[in-house]
Amino acid sequence: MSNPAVQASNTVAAARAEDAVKIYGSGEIAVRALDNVSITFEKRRFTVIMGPSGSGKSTLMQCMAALDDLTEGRAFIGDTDLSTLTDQESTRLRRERVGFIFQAFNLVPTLTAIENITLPIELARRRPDRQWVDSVISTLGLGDRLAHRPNELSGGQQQRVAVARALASKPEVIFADEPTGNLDSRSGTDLLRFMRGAVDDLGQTIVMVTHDAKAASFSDRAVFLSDGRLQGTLIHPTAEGVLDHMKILQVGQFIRDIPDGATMDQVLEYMEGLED
Amino acid sequence: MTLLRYSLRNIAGTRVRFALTTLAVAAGVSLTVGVLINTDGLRRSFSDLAGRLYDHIDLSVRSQSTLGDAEQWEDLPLLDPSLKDRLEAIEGVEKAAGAVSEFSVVAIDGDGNALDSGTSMQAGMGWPEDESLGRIFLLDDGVSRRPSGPDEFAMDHHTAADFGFRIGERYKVSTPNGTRAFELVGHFYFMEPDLRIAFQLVAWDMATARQLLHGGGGYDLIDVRLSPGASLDEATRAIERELGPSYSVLSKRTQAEARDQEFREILDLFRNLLLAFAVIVVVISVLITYNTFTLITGQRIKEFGLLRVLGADRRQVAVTVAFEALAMGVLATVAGFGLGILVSRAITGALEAAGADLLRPEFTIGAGPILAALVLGVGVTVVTAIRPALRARQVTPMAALAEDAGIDPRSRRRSIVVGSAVGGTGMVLLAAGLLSEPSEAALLLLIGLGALGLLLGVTISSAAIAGPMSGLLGWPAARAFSLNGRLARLNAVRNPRRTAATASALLLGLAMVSLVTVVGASFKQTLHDRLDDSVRADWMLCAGACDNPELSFSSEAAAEIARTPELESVETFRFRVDGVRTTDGRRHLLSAASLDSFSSHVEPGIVSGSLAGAGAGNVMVHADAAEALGLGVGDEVPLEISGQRAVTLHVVAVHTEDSVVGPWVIDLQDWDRYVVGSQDSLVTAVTAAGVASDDARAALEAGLADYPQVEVRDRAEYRDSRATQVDSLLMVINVFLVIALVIAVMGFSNTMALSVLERTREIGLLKAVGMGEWHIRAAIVLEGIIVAVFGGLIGVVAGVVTGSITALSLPGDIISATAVPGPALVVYLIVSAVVGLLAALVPARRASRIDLIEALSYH
Repeated sequence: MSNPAVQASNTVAAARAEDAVKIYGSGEIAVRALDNVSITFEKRRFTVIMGPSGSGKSTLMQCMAALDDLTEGRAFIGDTDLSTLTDQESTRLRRERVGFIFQAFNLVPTLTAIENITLPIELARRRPDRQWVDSVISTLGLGDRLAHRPNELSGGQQQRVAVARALASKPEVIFADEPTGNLDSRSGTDLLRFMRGAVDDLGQTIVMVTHDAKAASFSDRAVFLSDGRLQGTLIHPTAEGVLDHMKILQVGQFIRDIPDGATMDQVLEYMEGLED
Repeated sequence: MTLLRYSLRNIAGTRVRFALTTLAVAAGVSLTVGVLINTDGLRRSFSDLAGRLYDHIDLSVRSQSTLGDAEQWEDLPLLDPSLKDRLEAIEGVEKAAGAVSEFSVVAIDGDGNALDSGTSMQAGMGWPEDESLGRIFLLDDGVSRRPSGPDEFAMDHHTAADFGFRIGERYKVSTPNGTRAFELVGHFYFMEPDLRIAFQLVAWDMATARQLLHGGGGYDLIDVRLSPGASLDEATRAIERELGPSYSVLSKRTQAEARDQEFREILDLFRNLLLAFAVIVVVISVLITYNTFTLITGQRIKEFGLLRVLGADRRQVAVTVAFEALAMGVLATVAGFGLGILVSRAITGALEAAGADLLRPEFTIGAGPILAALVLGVGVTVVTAIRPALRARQVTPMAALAEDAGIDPRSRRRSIVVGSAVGGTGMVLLAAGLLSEPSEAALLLLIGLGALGLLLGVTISSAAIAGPMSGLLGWPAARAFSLNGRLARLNAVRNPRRTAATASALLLGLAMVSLVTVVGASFKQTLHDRLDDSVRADWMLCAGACDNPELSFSSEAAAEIARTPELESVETFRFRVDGVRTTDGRRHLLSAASLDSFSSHVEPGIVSGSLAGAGAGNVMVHADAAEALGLGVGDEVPLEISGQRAVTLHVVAVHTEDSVVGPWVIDLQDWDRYVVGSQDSLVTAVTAAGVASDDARAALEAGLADYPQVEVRDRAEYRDSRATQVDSLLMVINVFLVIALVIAVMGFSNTMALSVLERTREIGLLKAVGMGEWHIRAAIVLEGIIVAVFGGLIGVVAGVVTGSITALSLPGDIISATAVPGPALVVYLIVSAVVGLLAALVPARRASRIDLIEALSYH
């Protein structure tokens, strides 16, 4: 494989998908989780993928991060077509070019914070860039917690360790799946600020799946997914703008779903429910 | 490096489980290593001794077997004393000295009791004519002197000290020539003052010994020392030239090697028996290790997925499992080796306690034990981790994100397939043993492997019935303990694979115990049935436990009781192990009795011919031997008797009895003609009409006053006595099996703890809805009991079935009946219930202390 950094510099896209289709199951119980999604995530941008539960946003992220295979279409990290990779090549791509942050933190419980942070680098049998790792750690304010095991850390601290782990190997793109989902709102806000800072100050690229409108307001761009299809984009979204868009999506969904012969009262009643 | 640390931390985080599993492997290693070290040591000690035994001589001369046979036979014609002078006249011979000895010479202590022969060889001998060519030496204690004349004897100082024989006192000694009293004049030692061997020795001067032991005959053999510088080969040739073909010349090396060889054969038997049971422990520890790794891997699937997400490749994930196995294997090897040295000491201690310490083993560690430790420790552990490691390899990154990394549903079906295959192979092997007629060693191997395969197969496929079975077994618990009971039952039923895995080691352990119990009971039953069928006499008299046909006593004893009016008739029997050789080259037990009269005492089960009027020149042949050689009544059969006579005997009858008499029974007159030594091994008697049993016994004991080594037994006592050997063998086997069971219990507890851990979330949920700590404990303990009884029941049933098949597979002359000892099996079931209870206590306590919040949090 040629140098990924050189490849990546040829384009502004850190990751993209072309006509991505993902079908779970087969026959009558087949579910089309992604339905011809084409999207590009730009470098040095903080993008959020939004949508209600079951909209396919996590699936999109997993397929674009080389964790899962697409049924049809193609996904790229930089210029690398994920569908052409062998298992070993996907492994290398994950360890060298992609970072992950999860809702459940997913730290290895038997390793200390610093060991968790450098784990991907060590798995790749590379030497960590000490200076970079140190600056990540100090940015995240983890300096005095490094020797602790995950169960000795608060949720916010654990998630910051996870962020540091994702940043440590200087990946081309970081995928985050509901990273604030398990945090209280203060820790969540702190974490989002760190992520914003990582993009602005450290030049990182982040793609975050969330259904939290406030989380989306920290991003450069919000894309909306519903029923496995892209349903619009907001640039520099505000929380209010995101909420409005979500409502529109839901109404659109509702209108598509209105059974024949529904009364106007029923429609109004439902729309009132959306206000809450 | 971090991966290595990750593995090490995993070990540290689960150190109790790790330690227990390691201990299970180490136990198998240590038993094997212990047996190997001990028997290696014994072998070496004996090789040394065998070398030293002949160190002081150059060669020995004895009668040639008249058949010109190179094999060693025991009873060869005695050597005329004049031969010694002829030898000394030969060029190159410096000194020649005759030797005389005889077994079953028993000293009687001051209280009139015969010395216990249980574990020692009792022998009498002549004092060496030249001590530089002898092996016994006077003890330098200031009071001992050499025995001289027909009224004095000496005794080895260990025996004298053990039984309180004092110099200057008179003691009776039972010799082939009858029992007489002698004055003890000296203590002596054999080879070295401190050398203790399992012998009880007495000695007279040479003339007296020849008279008492050989009825005035000559020497057993003559030892020769060559002149300095003489060539062994030349001297041997010179002697052979001078003496002619009726004598054989044995170099000291030949003799030392022959002794060594004899000992090795006994030792190998002992070693193989112990190793067979060490293997059982190893098999159980394999099962436990496999379960542990499988469960650990199952629990870590999410974590492995995470490693994959973070960029670990398949190999790296598999390596973390392999590394843990390797660490465990190395630890088990080292610990097992250390424990093995202790086991070796323990075996020596046990032999000492049983009085069977023929020799103290030299302490050596050869390549064998080290190799065995490595193969069984590292090898076994790593091999059991292969499948779990392969499973870890298959984990995809998506497993980290899945809500529940479920268990592969195919694995249950697969375990049934694999179990059936293994069990089926076992069945085929057993069937092969049952139907074909292989050699004895091949048969034992077939049966051993077949039984093991069958039991393993049952263990592996037990998951198939674990669900319904534990449902059934859990029913009483559910009835009796309401909610706890229902929960326990549900837990046992819900995941049959887990239930079967938890019970597996216990199942296999109990199956083996049951198997041995059934085979042992069947063997005893066979012996009982046969003796019931064949023993007609009221009294059976023999020295010791009646299980060693070589233990004999003077025929004066039978002559003495024959005069007792309380007895109607007396018969005598003599036996010589390997005393007869047939034309096919095989050697068999030789028996002698008064052919025309013994059948009123021992029913021979004649199938053709008749013993009426039989006597000298006749032989009675067992049906099996007759069939093998194509013999029938009226045939003339050429036989070699005691290595010195080629005789042709006339077959008068074909018999089936083989528990008292052997396959070849000749007449006592022929015995006296062909066999050296005229002591009896068994005397039987029938009470005279109208005499009470107690009176007959009193009369017998009075008549045998001079022969206290001869025990008086009625039919029932005789039968039980014959079975004691089986009992003590079963005891030894059971010790090993108990060790296997203890390990199985450890495995049970271990797996139980893991399965509780697996359910942390669920237990937290139960607590959240208001289940108390004690309820949770009770539920887990009840579950443990249900699972253990499941294992116990399947194990006992499998063991009984396999044991019965084994009993059927063994040739009919060893086992022909099948006995299932119900009470013992019930005890095993109770034991398994208790085991389940005890093993579940710690996991139950842990479960009750699970933190509610932590259990219900996402991770």
